[in-house]
Amino acid sequence: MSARERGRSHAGDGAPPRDASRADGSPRGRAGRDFSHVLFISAGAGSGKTYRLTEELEHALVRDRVAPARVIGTTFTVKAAAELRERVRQRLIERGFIALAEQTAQALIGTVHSVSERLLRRFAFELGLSPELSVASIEDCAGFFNQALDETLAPDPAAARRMNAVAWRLGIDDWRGDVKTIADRARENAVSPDALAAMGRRSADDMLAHFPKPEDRDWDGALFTAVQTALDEIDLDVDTTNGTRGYYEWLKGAIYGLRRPPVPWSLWITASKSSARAKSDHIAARVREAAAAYDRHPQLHADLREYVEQSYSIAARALARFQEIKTERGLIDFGDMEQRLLAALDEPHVRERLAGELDLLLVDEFQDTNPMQLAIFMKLAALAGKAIFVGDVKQAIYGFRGCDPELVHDTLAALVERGGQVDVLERSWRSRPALVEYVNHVFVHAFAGELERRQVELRPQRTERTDAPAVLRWTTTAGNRAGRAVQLAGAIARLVASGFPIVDPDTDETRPVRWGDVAVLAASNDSVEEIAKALRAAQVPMKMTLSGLLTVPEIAIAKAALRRLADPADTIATAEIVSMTSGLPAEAWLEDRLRRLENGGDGESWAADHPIVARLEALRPSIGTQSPVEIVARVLNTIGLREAATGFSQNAIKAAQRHKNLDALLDLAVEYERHCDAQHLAATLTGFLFWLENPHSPELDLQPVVTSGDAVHVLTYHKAKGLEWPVVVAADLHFTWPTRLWDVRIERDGTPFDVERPLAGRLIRYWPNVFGKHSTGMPVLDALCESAEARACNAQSERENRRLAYVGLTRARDALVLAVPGRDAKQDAWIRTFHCAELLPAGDRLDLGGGKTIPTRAEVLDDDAEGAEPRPFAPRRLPERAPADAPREGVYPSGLPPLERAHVAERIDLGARIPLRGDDMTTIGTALHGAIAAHLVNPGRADALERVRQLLAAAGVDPFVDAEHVLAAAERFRAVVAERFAPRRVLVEYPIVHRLADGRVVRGSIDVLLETARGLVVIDHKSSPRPKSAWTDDALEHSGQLDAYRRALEAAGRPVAECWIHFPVSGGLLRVTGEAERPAADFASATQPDLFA
Amino acid sequence: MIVHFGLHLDGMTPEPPHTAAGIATAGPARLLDLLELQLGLPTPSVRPGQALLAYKSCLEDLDGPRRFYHRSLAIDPLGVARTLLAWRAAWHEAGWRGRFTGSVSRRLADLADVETLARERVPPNPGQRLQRIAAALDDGLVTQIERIVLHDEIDALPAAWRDVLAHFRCETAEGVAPAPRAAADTDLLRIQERLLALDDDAVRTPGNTAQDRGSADARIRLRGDDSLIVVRGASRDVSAQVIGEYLRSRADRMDDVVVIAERDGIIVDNALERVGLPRAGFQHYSRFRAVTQVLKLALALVWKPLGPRPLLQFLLHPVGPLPGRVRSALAEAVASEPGVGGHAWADALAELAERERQAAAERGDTDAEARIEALRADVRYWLECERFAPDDGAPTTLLIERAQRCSTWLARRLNATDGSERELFAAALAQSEALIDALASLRERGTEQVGRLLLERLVDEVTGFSPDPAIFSEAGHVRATTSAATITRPWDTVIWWDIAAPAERVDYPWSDAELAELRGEGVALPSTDDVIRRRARAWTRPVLNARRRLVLVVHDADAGHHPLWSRLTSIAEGFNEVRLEEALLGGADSIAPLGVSLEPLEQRPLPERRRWWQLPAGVKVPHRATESFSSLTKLVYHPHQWVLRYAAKLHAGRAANLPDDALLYGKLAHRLFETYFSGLPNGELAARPARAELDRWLRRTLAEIVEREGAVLDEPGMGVTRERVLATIERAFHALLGHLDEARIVRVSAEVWHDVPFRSDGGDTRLSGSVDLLLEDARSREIVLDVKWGGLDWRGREIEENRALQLATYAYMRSRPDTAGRWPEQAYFIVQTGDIVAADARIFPSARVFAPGMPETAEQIWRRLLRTYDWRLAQIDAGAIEVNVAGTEPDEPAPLPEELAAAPDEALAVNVAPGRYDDYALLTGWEPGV
Ligand code: SF4
Repeated sequence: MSARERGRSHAGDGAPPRDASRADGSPRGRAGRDFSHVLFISAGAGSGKTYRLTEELEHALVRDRVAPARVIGTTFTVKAAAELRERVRQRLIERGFIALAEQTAQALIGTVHSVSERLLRRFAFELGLSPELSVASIEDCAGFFNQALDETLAPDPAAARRMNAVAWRLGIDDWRGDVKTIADRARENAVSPDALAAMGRRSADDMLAHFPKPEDRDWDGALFTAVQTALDEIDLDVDTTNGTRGYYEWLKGAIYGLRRPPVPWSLWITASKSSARAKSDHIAARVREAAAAYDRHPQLHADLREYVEQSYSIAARALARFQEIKTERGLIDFGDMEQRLLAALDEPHVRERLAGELDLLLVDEFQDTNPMQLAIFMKLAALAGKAIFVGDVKQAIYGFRGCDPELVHDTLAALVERGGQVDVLERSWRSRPALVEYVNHVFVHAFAGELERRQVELRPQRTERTDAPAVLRWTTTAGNRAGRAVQLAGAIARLVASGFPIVDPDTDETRPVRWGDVAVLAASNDSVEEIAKALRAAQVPMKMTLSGLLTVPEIAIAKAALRRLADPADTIATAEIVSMTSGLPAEAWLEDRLRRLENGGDGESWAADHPIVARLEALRPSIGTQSPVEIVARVLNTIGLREAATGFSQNAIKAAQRHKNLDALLDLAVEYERHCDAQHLAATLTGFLFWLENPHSPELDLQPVVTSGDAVHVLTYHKAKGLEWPVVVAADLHFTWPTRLWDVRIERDGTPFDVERPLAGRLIRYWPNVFGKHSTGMPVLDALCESAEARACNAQSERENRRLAYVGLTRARDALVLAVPGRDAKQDAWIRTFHCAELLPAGDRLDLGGGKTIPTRAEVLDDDAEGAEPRPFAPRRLPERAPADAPREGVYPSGLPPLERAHVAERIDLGARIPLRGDDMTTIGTALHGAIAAHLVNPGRADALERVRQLLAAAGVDPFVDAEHVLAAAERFRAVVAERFAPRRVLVEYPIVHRLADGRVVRGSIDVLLETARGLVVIDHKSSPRPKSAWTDDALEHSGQLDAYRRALEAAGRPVAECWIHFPVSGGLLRVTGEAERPAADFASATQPDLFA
Repeated sequence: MIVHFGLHLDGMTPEPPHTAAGIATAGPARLLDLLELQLGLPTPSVRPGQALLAYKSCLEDLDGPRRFYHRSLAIDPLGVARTLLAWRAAWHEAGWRGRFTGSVSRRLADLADVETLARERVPPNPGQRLQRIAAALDDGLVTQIERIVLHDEIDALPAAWRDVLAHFRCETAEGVAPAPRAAADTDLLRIQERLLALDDDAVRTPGNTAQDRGSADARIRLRGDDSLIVVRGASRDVSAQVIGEYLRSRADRMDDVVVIAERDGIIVDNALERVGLPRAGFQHYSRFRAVTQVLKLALALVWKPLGPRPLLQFLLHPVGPLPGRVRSALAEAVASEPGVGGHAWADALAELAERERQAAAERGDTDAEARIEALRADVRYWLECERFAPDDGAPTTLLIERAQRCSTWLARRLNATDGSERELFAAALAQSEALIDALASLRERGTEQVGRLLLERLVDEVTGFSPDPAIFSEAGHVRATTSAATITRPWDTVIWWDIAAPAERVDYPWSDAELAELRGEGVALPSTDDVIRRRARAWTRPVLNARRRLVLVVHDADAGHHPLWSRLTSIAEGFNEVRLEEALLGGADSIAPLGVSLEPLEQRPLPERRRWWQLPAGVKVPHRATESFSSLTKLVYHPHQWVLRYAAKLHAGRAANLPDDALLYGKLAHRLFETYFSGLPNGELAARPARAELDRWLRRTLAEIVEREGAVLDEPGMGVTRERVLATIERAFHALLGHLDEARIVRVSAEVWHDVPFRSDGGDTRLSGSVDLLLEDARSREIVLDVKWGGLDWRGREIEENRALQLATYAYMRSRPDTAGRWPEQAYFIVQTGDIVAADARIFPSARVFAPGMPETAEQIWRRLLRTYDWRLAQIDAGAIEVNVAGTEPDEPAPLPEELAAAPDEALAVNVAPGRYDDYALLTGWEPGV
């Protein structure tokens, strides 16, 4: 019985009752569907979510006897999916359920996309999709979108130019980016292209509603006059201040712009905000006044409206074309997968099959599902026997990626209303008690108004092992980010040097902290880079996700090597290899090159004796036969790049990073070939180099993170999700998050929420930012920022950033360091939004109220940071070896040269020639061979002729030779053999293997082998059409082959009596014999010296 | 004859070759051939893509709205055909005879309908061949096979195989049935026994809690001896090399050591080669080998617009239907002016012709012109051909002809090549022929035009995955296999390299109901549970069949582990484990459990950035005979660039950097202005067409220029940029005319070439270059106008600070001798903004004026430039080269005597910021700690 069948028959026992109406797709009455088979597990940070998830799955498989094939589980990452599968498998093996453990491979556990892909593939025919479902990469899709945009605009180039012009006036660099974002949001929220135009109008209306009414006056003339007048009136001899001079210079530039419209609005805005020094400012005031009218300028209103409306309408058209392009190519992208799956889940066929084949739905990280996925999960849940959602609304931090925490929240609320269960995990297994109490305290406050206390608080489960401070406050005193980073680095070095106690996560023993126990969390990638730089300077070993893969030195060398292979004229590439791998100053190689050129040497072959260049050159012949991936693999691994990269690394972590980078280049080559495959393009080395120059996505330029090694981990708060460290340094708590007001945003249009149609009423809003870096101080800008839309938007991001802080501060197991600048944090600083007065410790203990205090420490950091001692680094290598020059293992007898002194000892004439029409002897010969063999094995069959006919027809040689003739040739051969040799057995295609002393192996099949009383007789067919006069030459031509057969047989202990060549076409049988001579090509001098007896 | 048969024995077989007669080793493919040969049954010979296209025609012929595949077929005919072909193959192997007796559901019924056509049209698949063989055997035909030794459990074989094998005497190889083989009291034996004990439990079903042993420490504790070694690493290349070294130390017992590499074994072979051992013969199959891609590259040239990248891919390919020297020269042209038919293109062709002529003269060949004309015709055919819009398609006949020309070329190369590339040429030829067949049959069905997408898919269909013919197993190699299941006898040492999560899932594409129907119809598909169980058992063979030592090489991976590895870690702990990176980077003397010794690695830091390079005495840096403006500025501001480029002759490759930014746009604007002004009769500005006509001319001309010299802008996705660039150039063009009118310019000459003595006072050095635009106004004043794409402020500052070197240089070139020493006026024209930038508004009333505080004449500036030039050369003659790059400071002391270190009084200030573009950036050193 298959897993599926068994699953079906057992499904009843432990599972909740199945809703027979689930498959019909109709919501039941006004009350809606019942969701009592859905369980939401609310799992705060460190509450043992993974454990619980594993347990749920294990229970389902063991206790409820759900067949693994009937489980669908989604996780946030590929890695999490693998871990879940593996944990369950291990648990099952430990319990002795080996077969079941193996069957877990059947469970559909993966990321949302991989699960969608599998489901779509399964239902491809029902859904009218390509069953091969080729998934386009994000990079390729970006390319297709641009292409779609091109094609949308192509019929009307003037439209593109207008858009270019409006965007230029509004100061928007990349309007295509805006169009793409609008399109992306539309897809993510299942907004149809048709609906976009109206949303564009609405966005423009709403935005312009905050502007004063346009007034039709000569604003341009007024501003021009004001600027001209100001230029005339400002007297730099009277007002000699630099401020006024600068203002004057600015006006000078401005007047050129004003003279030749169009004028960018930034000029108006700057003019409305700029001032001269006191003496001349009354003049500047008139300019300001004239410029301040921009918000009433009809052209600005028109520009904004055109820009917004056009962006939406172009997005709608491009989106439609984009979908077409993918469809034509049989491609599907991540967005399509979600969209199609959502649609598929409304198809009766699909619903029916799934309702029958899905017993358990598991969703991990439920809070991070995007709207489309949410809709999918709701539909799947309705079909599943049981559904378990695991997540933590406090950790929803992907709003910027199109997730919508409010939507998740509403969904959960609606589920509960419809009978769904909620299970709150209440215990904390991660952090020591003092930290748990601290986090409880801070976040009960921070989330007050959003969440109840019980949804936030956890009960500590670990025991308190030290009285070392649990929360440390590090007050930085430096005035800028770089300075603060340096102070942090120093403090980290001191903390580790001080032997600060932590509890080892693996052994549970208390021990001094090491580098690898510490993580530093930062708000932005820039900040990560800054801190990393400071740590590096302080000699603290450190790891992080770095961008710039394609520019690091080890990759630069690899690219140089590839460039040189692709184009030997790339002498810069050669110089780069030499410069970076010889450890010599530039003068050394430059001198070498100059001298060579001076002596008339040629530039391209310079440095040929440099070891890496030499090994690279040895690869040159292979570029004709190898694919890009193979070439890259060779370059990476056989010319000594790894050793070179280790050689210029400062420490082991750095070296490990470089090795990973080199591996990543190979991954890129694989990705490139995949891209070519999906797009049906040729993949070549040159093409790969081009592709590397234009990576369509920043993702491809990331350096892989080194996971091993004792090093401080520096990363963003976002990336810290799901990880933990004994010590976490939370930096950037004074950060001001940029407003999202100018982003393309999703809002709800007021339609009431419906859990079964969570995507109804989604609205895409976009207000382009014409104000540049200005954030206040202009009436219209202030009006926009005070609008209800802006307030809602800001409140939303404040909530999200608070959740992000929750994620960050809950990563620590033993100690949490809060790094804050000494100066008072700004009003809008992140830390203020926690609304928690006792957040920052000031001394040795912090009072959390209710009689609870925790050990803390407060330190002020200064500049005299001492770096850490660099650790000794003495890397090793595997020995350098000369390549073996081994010959090909296989020796094929038919390719062997003739023997020098062979001769023909006997000729038997078998009769007339077979008439042939045509000269494709290879095909005819093969057919002849086959026919003779078949005849020898099964002689005397009544249907012999018919069988020969079929053989000839299948080989396509029936027009060239008649079956009767072939059969006759086979028969005469058989008859003569029987008569002449009286064989005990006639063997055909008889395999031989002969291993020579030097390791080479002779392999072949003897066409015919006769076992006779005198010994073996070897016969080889040759279908040469040449006349009898050529028999001897032709036969001797194959003496080497016969000799090889003979030696092989004799080496196997089967003495050979005679060797013959059979010419079936011309009707001859020749015995070839020879003297004790060596063959011309001494293929086996080490074996028996004697040849034909 | 005795046949060893196993599902995986078609590929590499681990068994060392023994001298023997009458023993064959075969996987399914080989045994099929063998049986057919002996039974006299035809073995189908199939062209690439043949079965697929044939099956597709069957699907199409029976297509209709009620067919289950109808909608999918419309979207992806080839994909649908491939998928259904595989379904049917699986059914045939499981015993399907091409029809259903009872009534079945729609998909099954449809495929049975299709089968009525497919039976005739599609070459038989293995299942059908097996059925035919079984029938022949039933019919009394015999073979000479005496015995078959099975290397897989008989139950693991598909039904059609079992039917055939039932006609033979079969026995199962020793190691297929599990048994522990290791010596007593070793970890290896402990784990083998544990594994076997668990395997016995394998039938336990869930829910039977009586057998649930809970989690009560089920793991056994290993001692960590050398019988079981786990090697962990991040990099597969490093681990492969370590295994290579380990094998070297075991070289004497090579026949009793086996390496399993289930995927990418080529990495192992590359490592073996690197450590000086023979390659084991792992192959890698790719459709992206140079020779097999020529067809595709050559066909891509018929589509418009033709982007420079596909063009360069064709031109720089290792092989191609045009001679390498021709492609290489044209690549050079395309790299500087991306497109076909521009100035550089024409120059390259002319130069090629000249070289042919010379070469012919040297050979004494009199037929040079005919040869050149033939080459020229080839270039026209392949590259300057008519191009078609991808959606409209190209004429089928034309495509067939192109493919035929490829075939002709391939056939010629095939005959002229021996050695490893032969096989590839043969494969490429077969592929080209198959494409011709496919196109011809399309034409027969009435398809006159073939669109790009369809063509590319067809090419992919006929392009198989080919092995690299240059790699093969070498004499004396270690035993190796691509399948763990082939370890069917005890081995002294088993090395399982890269034991990793298997990619394929066991999953049928059919619904439970369909499976039930199929089985009811005698299609004996095994249950997925059985498949999984057998697969899991096969995985244990390498562990159980290791006698003395098992080495497992496990790599870090996000995608999870191999189920067997999970199983081992669930049943045991305390493995003897070594982490390679830790050993190598941590300074260990050896990788202990394997006994691989390590050597110290010589540390060679990257060169650091330094402001000065000092060449040793006696190294001569040659001077240039002719300088240009760009070489002058390099010498003055970036001496290292001057030395590296002109003295050391270091050049970027042709694929390195296609211009696609301001540099390119500027060139296009230049070309437009040149075209326009040189088209005016006598350069007279008054002869200007009407605005509307001018606009039409502009649009047309710009499009041509882009196609010839700026085809980057024609590439897909560049449309918006293209419009922006073209609109900017058009606007600038009109602005320029406006400026010229205001300035009452009467005559304009474009790109005026000069080659003059570098110094008015003697010397051999020359100076050459083109003046962008040379103007003459109503008062016969001459003005040098230099056209720049952008950088208005920057140019303005140059003028303000008396260092507009380019203007001074061109003014100098004009100053003599014909203008009697008078220096022309000068200005910049900035395309992006349409502004004239000048030191005053005397000539151009609307110029943006950047007035120097202390104005200097062009002549004065030129003199400073000369002074600076001499000083820089003197420094270089003294071996000192200043390296002006970010990360160095101008005040770093120069390795020079005082008089050379400090700039002479009249010299220009040379401390400009390092340039943004520096081809030599990577040669100037690295920041510490990068
Ligand atoms: S983005 Fe999609 S495909 Fe990528 S890991 Fe996440 S779920 Fe998978």
